[in-house]
Amino acid sequence: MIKIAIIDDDLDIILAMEAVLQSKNYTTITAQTMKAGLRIIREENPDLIILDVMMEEPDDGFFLAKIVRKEGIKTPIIMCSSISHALGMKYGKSEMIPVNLFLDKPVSPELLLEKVELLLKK
Amino acid sequence: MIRLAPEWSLYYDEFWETITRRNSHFIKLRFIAILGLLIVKFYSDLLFDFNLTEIQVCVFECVITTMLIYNFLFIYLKKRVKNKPKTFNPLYLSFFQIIADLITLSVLIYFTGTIESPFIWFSTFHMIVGSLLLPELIIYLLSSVFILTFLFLVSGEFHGVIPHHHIVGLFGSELYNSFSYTVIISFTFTLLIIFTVYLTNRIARELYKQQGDLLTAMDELAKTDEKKHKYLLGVVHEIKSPIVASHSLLELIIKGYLGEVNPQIMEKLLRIENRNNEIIERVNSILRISRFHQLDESDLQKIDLNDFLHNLAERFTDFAHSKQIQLSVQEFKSFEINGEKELLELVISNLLSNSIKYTENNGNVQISVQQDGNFAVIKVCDDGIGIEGDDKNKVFEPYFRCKHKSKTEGLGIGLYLVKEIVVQHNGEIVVDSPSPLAKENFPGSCFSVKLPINPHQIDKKNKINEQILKQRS
Repeated sequence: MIKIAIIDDDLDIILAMEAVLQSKNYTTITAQTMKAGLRIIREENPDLIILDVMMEEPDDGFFLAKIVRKEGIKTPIIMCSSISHALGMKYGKSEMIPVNLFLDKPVSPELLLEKVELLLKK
Repeated sequence: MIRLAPEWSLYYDEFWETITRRNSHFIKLRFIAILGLLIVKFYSDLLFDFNLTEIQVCVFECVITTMLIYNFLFIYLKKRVKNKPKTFNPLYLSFFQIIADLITLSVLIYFTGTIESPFIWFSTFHMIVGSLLLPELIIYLLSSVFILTFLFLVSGEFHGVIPHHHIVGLFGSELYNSFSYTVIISFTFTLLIIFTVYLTNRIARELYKQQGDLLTAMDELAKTDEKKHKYLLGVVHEIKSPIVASHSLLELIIKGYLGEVNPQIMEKLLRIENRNNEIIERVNSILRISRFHQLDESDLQKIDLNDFLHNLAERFTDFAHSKQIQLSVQEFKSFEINGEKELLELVISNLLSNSIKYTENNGNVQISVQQDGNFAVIKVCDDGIGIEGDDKNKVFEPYFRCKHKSKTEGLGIGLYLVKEIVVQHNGEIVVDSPSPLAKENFPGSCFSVKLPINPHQIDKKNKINEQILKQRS
């Protein structure tokens, strides 16, 4: 069973992503805060993490990703943000942010599944 | 080293430019002075019957040679100075120039009769320039030393302690031992120097202070702008989040993840999705507008126009087909331009979307490109409803909507945004109506975007502003 963690403060986003991922028989675990997110990553050791940038604080997502990498967890991370692309931030090129992929919200179901499959193959 | 530059000069290139310019002036003026001295040396006997003594001729020669040598030295140093307060900067160069000149001038004055010397008045030059450039303390110190040296020489000569060098042809009898002449000239000269330094200094300080205040104000303004930008980001995020969430849920239904949907309901859901997309696009536009301030050269990319336009046209194929509109890109020999791809995409998409929106079914929308010297001219033309005379000048104003277009939805920020982006790229945009594609009853419109092929230069003021921000933050 492939386990995917969805960490986002917006319950509707979580529900939508869960429905899409579960349709392909992925198991999902979810969290709505940074703390809870960190806990499920440590305890449940997911195969992939989908992370929102802005939660309680504007950079919670980055912070969480950094902690995760610091602890030596190499699980692939997809980071979603609703303002990154529109701002033209070139996250991808930056090594400061240890995530594997950036997606601009809203993420369509097809794109989500495609990227999830791509990262899981690696 | 004593620090000569004011605090704010750290962040202000123009300050250094002015000083560098003055240094160059100094050097040029010195060549003129040298020429003047040469004339005096060679022709004074002829013109004024000066009868210079052997010593005086020798002093003239020495002074001229010394000035030539240090002038060339200053030319050499001028190229090496750095515009930094703590290094050997242009201000030190000015300082050393003033000192060197005052020393040679003192020698010249002494050997041409001190109190009788016609050269004493030249020192006011240095006092004025020194007051403009140097810190108060230093220029007051310099002028005091200069005046004291002068008075020391005058009184020494008066009392016969120091030998006097008289210019025979200038005054019939010698004046240095006349008490009233010595006192009056010394007094006027001292007063002149003191007042010159005092007044110039006060005016210069006042100006510097104002300049400093102005820079602080600019700084504040930039900070406020930054705050506004952050606030806007927050607001946009707040607005976009619920839309994104509802959009995600909507897609679940539309894409069939929750089971079959009745076609009638599906049709309405698709309409909702379209409207949702519009909101998201607009919110993104607002973000992009606010981002303009941060556009810099590192954001420029090479864009192959052929690929760029074909990709964009493809995105609009569905929309055009829904109205049976023929959307085409005229063939052209492709070339590259430098620009920010995302923003230029926004420009062309806006024009395309407008053209399709305002063209009736079975119409035409055409993209064409021409290379005009260092510019690329991209035209988006249609045979739609066109734009009326008066409105042509107004379409690029914010929140403007054409009267006859009021039925079509939109905020009216589209074309304003388009123009902003084009201007930011140092380009131009104009609209023609009727367009070359005009048909009977359908004048159509034709938007021409003229973009420079080479990277745009952000104007200087913006750059200074950015520098201030970068260095202070």
